Amino acid sequence: MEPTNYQLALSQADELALRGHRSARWLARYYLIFGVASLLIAPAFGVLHGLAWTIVLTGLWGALILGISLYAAKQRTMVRGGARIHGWVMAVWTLVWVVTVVLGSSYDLAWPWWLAGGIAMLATCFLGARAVLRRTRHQS
Amino acid sequence: MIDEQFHSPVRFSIMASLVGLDRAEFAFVRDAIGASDSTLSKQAAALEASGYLKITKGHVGKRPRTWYSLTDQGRTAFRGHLDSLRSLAEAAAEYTGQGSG
Repeated sequence: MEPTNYQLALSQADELALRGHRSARWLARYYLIFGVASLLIAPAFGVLHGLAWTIVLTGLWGALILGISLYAAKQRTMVRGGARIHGWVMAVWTLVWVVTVVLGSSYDLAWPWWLAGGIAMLATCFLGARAVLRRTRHQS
Repeated sequence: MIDEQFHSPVRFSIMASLVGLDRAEFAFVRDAIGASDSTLSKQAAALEASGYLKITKGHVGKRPRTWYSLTDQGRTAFRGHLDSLRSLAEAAAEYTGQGSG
């Protein structure tokens, strides 16, 4: 094999790996959407009371979950370690959500509590997105 | 170490497209490497037989899907192969005087 052929094979491998990494960044976008939605919905649950608002907010949240689940199902790649990252993000997010809702509702806490909960959920999702982007950062 | 399995350009490309991923769908790999369905299936089966590739079949909704992922053995072998290619490229470049500037 000529030196140029070795280089050609390495360049081709690099190009294909880059394509895979780009494709797998969808999970970072998923976390950003989920995080921003959490930041908006958590304070809304704390501030907007009554059955009507509960129905509206639950409906909005359900529609969002359905939408991003369909988005995830359409994707053709998964970043290396993606299942573990997703497991951690969802576990921490759920813990933050439960603590925010249970304590916020039990003690009738004001909006700053709910906003802090929303920010913690967003931060969790940001960390997940960062982990995905680090793993899909391309190094030749 | 140079691995003869990867002398086939299609097998080499399949491995390269999967090395940074947990898994990829059949259509993604096919489009990425520019192979036909039958060529990809045949070469992927050969990699599976070598223990380098895992093929998982399932459904998303009602649509059948095939997913490819590298085994630990395959990932290690391919990374070793790439390392060997880099060493050979450097050595060859030096030998032909291209690396000396």
